[in-house]
Amino acid sequence: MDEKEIQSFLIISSVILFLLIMTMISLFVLFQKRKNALLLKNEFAKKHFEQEISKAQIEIREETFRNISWELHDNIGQLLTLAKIQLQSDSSINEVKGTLDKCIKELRILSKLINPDALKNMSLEQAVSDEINRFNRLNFIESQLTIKGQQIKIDSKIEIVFFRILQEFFSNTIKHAKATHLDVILDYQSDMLIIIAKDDGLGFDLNKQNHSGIGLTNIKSRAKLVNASATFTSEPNKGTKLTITYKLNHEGTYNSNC
Amino acid sequence: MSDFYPYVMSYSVSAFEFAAAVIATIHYKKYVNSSEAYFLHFLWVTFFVDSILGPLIGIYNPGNTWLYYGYTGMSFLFYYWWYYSILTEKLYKKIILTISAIFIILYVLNGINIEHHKYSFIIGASFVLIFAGFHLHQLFNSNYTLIIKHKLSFWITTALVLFNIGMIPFILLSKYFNVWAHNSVFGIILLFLNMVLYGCYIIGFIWTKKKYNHF
Repeated sequence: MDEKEIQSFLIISSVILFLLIMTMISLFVLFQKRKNALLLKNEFAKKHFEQEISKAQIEIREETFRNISWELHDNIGQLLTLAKIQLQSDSSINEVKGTLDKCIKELRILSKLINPDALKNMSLEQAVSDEINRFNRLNFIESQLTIKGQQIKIDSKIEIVFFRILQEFFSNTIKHAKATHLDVILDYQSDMLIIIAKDDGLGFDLNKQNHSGIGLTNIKSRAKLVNASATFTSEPNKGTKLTITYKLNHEGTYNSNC
Repeated sequence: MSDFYPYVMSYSVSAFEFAAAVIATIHYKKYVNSSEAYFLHFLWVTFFVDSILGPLIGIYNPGNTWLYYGYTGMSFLFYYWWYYSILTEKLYKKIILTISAIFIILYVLNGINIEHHKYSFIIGASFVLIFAGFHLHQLFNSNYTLIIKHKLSFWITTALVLFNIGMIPFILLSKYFNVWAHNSVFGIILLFLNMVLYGCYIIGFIWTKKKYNHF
């Protein structure tokens, strides 16, 4: 190997080594930077998710307080007033006893429903079922819950979001829709959970309605937060239908793109 | 001493090729559902051509250049096809199709003259670098960045980038200085680049996880 060859070898190998090292450093720095940015973004999304869950929980609690207040005033209060009137009008003891029995029964149901431990460990089916039973018991609206397929346990935080969405839908149905029937279906498929809630109320024109007032946007953004999709179908005088589609076995609980 | 070097180096490259193919076979289940699955076949073909068929033909006919030229063309087209299948952006796919067509034309034209064979390699390798850039850009803008060391396509791309980024100046400068790899000392550079290439493949096959290889 002569001097010229040694020189060439050194130049060639130096150039190659330099290029390789530069490429490796560039790749490392680029991906490290991007990784840090992504981690920050995910951290932010996680915080946002937690905040939204807390918000949903607070709203559920507020709704519960509203329901308790309503039940105490309009249901139990009415029964006690009736018992008082019966006592004042000299009705038979049995009649007063029957009214008070009914009152105690309602009170027990209410007490059971708002027990914090029961609320904490409640599954989505249980929570929806209690809500439906309450509507039927208080003659708000004729309601029905159907559960299809094998029930699969999903993350409790996601259940909270779904329950809050349904609660908002029910509240709209009762307040604005003037519906007589409410049907809720929880359809557990092998890789998907489909939740359908529909009423036979006034409905609305999806193209004309200002959705912000009735929380449509809120419902959709909440669904998106947990990687689910919420779609509304409605026509004037033909009722409203809400379909929530959630893909089971999601890797991440929250959607980092929200 | 000078007779001994080329053998050691030739066998070392074959050993790397063989090791990469064996490790790819062992970990095949992890990436069977992705386009990377074809790398298993590709690595065995490489080993067969480079370490068995090439030397065998070389014994009877010293001019086995056509075999290597054919293999070079096939390997580049294989990489292009692989990038075509893993890239999701339509523009990238269109560019790959166009560039592949250009490569085939230049490859055939350069093939006529043996002296020009090395240009086919430089052109092919440059195109691989472009596509590797596309793929890195795609990975960069996805959540895969967080688990990049478990992504086989990242390791294959890194291997191809490092190998080709070294090979292109090596060929160009060798020609410029009028020295060539037949000189055993220059073979060390080739051995080193092969070591980087198959080393990255091997790391990729070992570290990859099944759940991240699905396209």
